[in-house]
Parts: sequence; C-alpha cells; structure tokens
Amino acid sequence: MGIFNYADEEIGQREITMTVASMIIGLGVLTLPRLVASETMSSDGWISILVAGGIALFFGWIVSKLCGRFKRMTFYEYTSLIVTKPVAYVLTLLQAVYFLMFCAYEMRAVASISKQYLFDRTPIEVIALTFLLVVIVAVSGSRVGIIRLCVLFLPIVLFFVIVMLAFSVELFEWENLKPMFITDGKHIYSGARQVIYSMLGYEIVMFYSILMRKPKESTKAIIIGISIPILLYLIIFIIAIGIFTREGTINIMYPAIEIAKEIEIPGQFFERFESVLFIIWIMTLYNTSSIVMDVSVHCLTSAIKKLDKRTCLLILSPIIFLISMFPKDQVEYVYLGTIISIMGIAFAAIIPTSLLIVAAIRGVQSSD
Amino acid sequence: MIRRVVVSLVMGWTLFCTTGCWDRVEIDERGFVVGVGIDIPDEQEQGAAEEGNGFAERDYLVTYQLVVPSRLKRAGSSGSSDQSYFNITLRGDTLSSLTAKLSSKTSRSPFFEHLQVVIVSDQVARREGAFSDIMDYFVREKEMRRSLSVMVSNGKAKDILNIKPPNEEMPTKFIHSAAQNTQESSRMLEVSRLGKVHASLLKRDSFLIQLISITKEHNIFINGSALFDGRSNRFIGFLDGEDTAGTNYIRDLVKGGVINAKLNGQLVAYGIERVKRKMHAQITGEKQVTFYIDIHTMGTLEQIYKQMDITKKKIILTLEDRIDQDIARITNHVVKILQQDYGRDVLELGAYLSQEHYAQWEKIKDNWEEGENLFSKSKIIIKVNSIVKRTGNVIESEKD
Repeated sequence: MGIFNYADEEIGQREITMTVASMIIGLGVLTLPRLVASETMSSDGWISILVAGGIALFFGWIVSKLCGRFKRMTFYEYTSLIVTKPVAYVLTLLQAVYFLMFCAYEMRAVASISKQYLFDRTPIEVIALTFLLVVIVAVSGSRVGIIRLCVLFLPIVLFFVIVMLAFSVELFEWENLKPMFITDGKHIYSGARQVIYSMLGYEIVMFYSILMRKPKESTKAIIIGISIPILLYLIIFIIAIGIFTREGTINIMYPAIEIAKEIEIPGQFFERFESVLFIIWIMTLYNTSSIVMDVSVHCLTSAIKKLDKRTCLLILSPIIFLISMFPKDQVEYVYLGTIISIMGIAFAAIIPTSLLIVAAIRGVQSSD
Repeated sequence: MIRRVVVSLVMGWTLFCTTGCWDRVEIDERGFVVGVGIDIPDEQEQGAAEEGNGFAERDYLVTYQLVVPSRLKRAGSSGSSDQSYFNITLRGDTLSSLTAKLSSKTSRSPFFEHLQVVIVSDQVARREGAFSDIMDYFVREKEMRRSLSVMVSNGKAKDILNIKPPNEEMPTKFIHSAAQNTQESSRMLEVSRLGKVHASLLKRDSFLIQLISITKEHNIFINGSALFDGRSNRFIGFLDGEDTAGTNYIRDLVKGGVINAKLNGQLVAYGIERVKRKMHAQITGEKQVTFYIDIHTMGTLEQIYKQMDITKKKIILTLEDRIDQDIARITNHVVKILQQDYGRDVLELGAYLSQEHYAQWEKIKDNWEEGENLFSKSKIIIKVNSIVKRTGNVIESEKD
C-alpha cells in the first residue's frame, strides 16, 4: 500500500494560528472554571486568566522569535547549530518523552470522561484503545494533514461554543459576578498558576516551523493562536460564574459540561446539548492528541536518522497505551498530570528562552 | 499470499470487535422516569410490599412516574382508556438503591434523562438534613439535568403524582407546565431549577422553593413557597401566595399578575405588565442597615366594579395611589413576617450587601441571620409607584 503524498507540503500563517489554538484548547477547558474559581473570590478569576494569558503570549513570542531565525530546519537541526549536537540530541529525546506522556495523559482523560458521561459499561481500556487507533491514523499520514484537520475542526468547535453561550444568556445572572476586584494579588497569582497549564501547547510551533513558507511570519500567528483560547476561557469562566455562582462552580467537576446540561434550547431535538459539546470536545482532544503524538514521532525520527516514521509509530503506540493505563486511580492520574505540567513549563518557557538567548549571543541563524 | 491471509484475518477480527457495544440500550427498553416524589412512609404504608427486613428510621417512600411511550402515541384515539403513565412506589433509604430496586420492578431499565419534576413532601423537607441528602443524588447522578424543577409539596408527594390532569396526558407534564406560569401570577415563585437549588444549598443564605399543594378535588395548586433555613438547609415554614408575591416584588421577579385595589369600597383589577425595582442600602454605625426599595409598576385596568370616569386625571391618580398602597401592604407584610417570625432573609438582601457593600458585609455577615440577627433589626423602607398605562377598550361598561 502506497502512501499518498500531498503536493503542497507547506503551511502559512493562518494554518499555524489555527493549529496553535486547537493545540491549546483541550483538556483544560472542562475544569478550568472550577480551578480558577476555587483560588479566587467572586468573579475575579478573569484577571487570573488574563495574567496567565499574558505570560503565555510572552513566551509564545519568544518561541516565534526562535523559529523565525531558522528556515526549513527541524528542531534537532537548529538546536544542534545553537548548542552542539549532543545537547540537541538529549533535548530532542526529552521532548519526545514529554509529548509521549502528554499524549497518554490526554488519552486517559478522554477515556475516563467519556466513560463517566457516555459509555457506562464500556471498559475504559477499550475506549482508550479506540481513540488511540484513530489518532494513529492521523499521525501515520502526512504532517500537513494534521494541520489541515485542525483548520477543519477549529471553526466547528468555536461555532458550537458560541451557540452554547448564546443560549445560556437566559440563565445568566449579572448579580453573580458581583462584587468585583476583591481578590488580593496572591490569590490572583495562584489562580493564574492553574490557568497556565491550560495555556501550554504553543511550543509545538518549534516543531512545525519546518513546514512554514516564511517562519518569520510565525509571530503574528502564535499571538493570535494564543489569544483565541484566552478569549474562550474568559467567556466560559464568566458564563460559569454567571450561571452557577462562584460557590456552585467550585463544586462542579466539569463546569463546561454542566453549562451544556443546564441550558435549554427551544425545540425538543436540541435539548440534549451536552452531546454536541462532547462531540466538539472530543474533536479538540483528537487534534491535540494527534499533534503531540506527531511531534513526539517527529522528534525521534529527526534525531535518530535510521528510524522510519511508521516503525517509530508502531513502537510508540503500545508505550502510549501502557502509560495511559498505568495510573490506577484518580490520585495517581493527577500525579501524572503534575509531572507533565512541570515538564511542560520547562519545555514551553525555559528551553525556548535559553535557546533564543544563546542563539542571539552566538548569532546563529539560517543562511538566507 | 501470506499478506492476504493476514489482512483478511485482521479484517475478520475487526468485524467481530466492532459489532459489540457495551452501552447499547434500545429506546423501547428504556423506562423513562419523568417525575419523582419523595415522602416519609406511614406505619401502615403499603408502598413497600417486601417483608422481612425491618426498615430504618430514615426510610423514604419514593414514587416514580414512568411513561408508557406506546400508549402516548395512541392517546386521543377513542377506546383506549389506558393511562400513558404508571407510578411505582418503593420504600428504602438511599435513592440510588431504590433506583436499583426499581429496575427489578419494571420491564424497562429506568432512565432519568427526561426527568422533569422532583417533588419533596414538606414532612421530608422538615427532617434534619433530608432535603440536601436527597438533592445530592440529583446533582451528582450523571443522567440528571440541572434544569429539572424541584418542588416542595404541602401534603403527600405521592398524591400529587396521582392526580388526573384535565388537559395533559401525564401529571408530571401538567405540573411542569403549570409551574412555569409565573407570567400570569405574581403569587407563584419562579421555577426552582435544580442548578439554582444546588447553589442555594452551597451558600449560607436562606432560600425559597416553589410550593405545590393538592386540593380536596384532587387538583394541584401552585401557589406560595416553602422557606428553607440557609444553614441547616431545612424547611422551616410556608409563605402563602400573597407573601410570596411580596418577596417577588422585593426580589424583582414579578413578571405579571393582578392587584385588586379598592376604590370607594369597590374592587378595581390592575393587571401588571412591567415591574422595575431599585434598591440601595445604607449602613450606619457598622450595625444598622437601612434598605431603600423603590418599586415601579406599569399596567392596565382589567376590570372595574364601580363605574367611574377613568379619563379624569384625578380618578387615575387616586387609583394609582390605591394600587401603591396595596403593593406596599403586601411587601411590608412579608418583610414583617420574615423579620419577626422567621428571622430569615430570603429577600436576598444579604446577597445584595455582599455584592454592593462587600467590605462592610464581611464584618456583619456572621451576625446577619444569627447572632445579633441584624437582618431582623434592619430597616426596610419600601416606596411604590404605579402607573396605569392603559385603561382598556371602553370608558364605562354600564351606567349607574
């Protein structure tokens, strides 16, 4: 069986924008209102979201500056130029491990939340496996294919989120947002810390810049790409507080799902709006999972030249499945999440910054 | 060749795997539960027919109303006198175990996603902690929707689910639509959505739940409200229709309704179209709170007993004045009851203070409903201003 190759293996600014947005929107959106509200008072969590968004925008800008220096180069290639080959080798392999674990974590989340709300009796392993198989299909094709999938899904996702929010206006109570500005700086900061984990993901541009026609354009793309989730998080948070009040929000496991369950759309057919929410949510998680798995495969194949992409996938898939099934209960699962978050901060903030500084000092960039 | 064999084996295996579905429940095998009523069992209650195991003190008697979809379809055609629903009453402690018990009593497995109404009897709600224990099941269970309406019944919830509604096929459907008629009556509380009840349970403020009663003629009557203490989440008393109307005026929830004002000893019916409420509070000496509440109403004259020239300005002004007095009487009465008899703030005045005067509220909130009971000591000054916008199609309908 031959593999179909797209003639046009290049992407522009818009594709990167949408990929970044789809990558960031993922797991966090379901729990974010609860996590932010539990750290802040009343409706002040929006400040935390903005603060975290600002931090993400700053590091996103750094990532784009780093990518802008190198044209048509893989992460491994340009880090080799900046900080010698052995260091680049280690960094690339670590990134591969990180994205591998990220993929496993996402898969577990999809499986357990789908089980709770949709498949009562289906074993969690089966749900996870089904999801993994579909992700493999996406990853085994062309890399641009995944990006095209993001471009396809993101507008659908945003459209349905807007529909959901429009219908929640009826239940929304402004009084619940008051009083405002009563949280002190310390709690705003701890709220922002909860949000920042949901803002990670823009760093994937470091691995997709090789496909870009003009990597210098990536700055604007990343900034808009990060702004979309910030806006989405803000809206969902405000709606959650407006409907459930702050006390309600901090006691609801997945506020975004409950918003969908609380709203009533005229006409019996659309009454079960949460099913639509699940579809779009699984679509975003599918995008996120495919991207992280693809990046992981890309890291390994670019560092280890002999490794073929399909072989690599065959080796990685069972590992991802095993990691995702490894946590035996909620506590261990949260622990896995914490490890990934810490690694995420390192790879999304510290490494790009240090690489950019070293590159600037040594004056490394592409020849043209 | 080997490749072909492998491919066909994999395909065959996939076929076997994809045809199984763990969660398949055909729609005609589901038992749609549309209403749940919760009572305290009497000693001689027949609802639970099981013998042997002695029942615990905290048992509930739970009535489930299930739909029979096939009969729903045939409704309207003559000859079928069958009901399109049936009720099952079970006795037990946790609602979850009762649901399990329910599935052994019907041919269809119970399915709660279409549940519309939960009725808790006043006796149950009066029990320590019972109301919140019951609500816990409904907010926690994944099949439940946060938009379902919660009601407290004055009398047995089971009887309410057994009424024969005149125009609807199912009692629950009837109750559910009747509960939404707040546009016509100011004496009904707005629907107590489960989501809202959940928020009320989490907060310390006292709250009201829509009240449903059953008349001697086996009709339902949605009027008034049940008052719950915010701390213990226990039912502590009824507010009648007029008092509920008073709370609606103060909380700015009136969407319609009629005021019967008296002019020269004769009744005049004033139909309310719009109500606006403005409120501001003043805190003096850190303890004394004064609320100024302005209620503006707009409406039309709907019926006049004693004919008069309603084109005259003076008559309209006296009429408006009488309407003001009547609304002021209603609102002041409920304020008096709440401050003096119950000492519970269901007027959301505490919530108002926390929203608009947060710093001062933080200091007094522990003494609001308990301790020094600042709510009872606060002054509530109500001003009403009504406008008769229209006077109807005719000037006089008869000559004296």
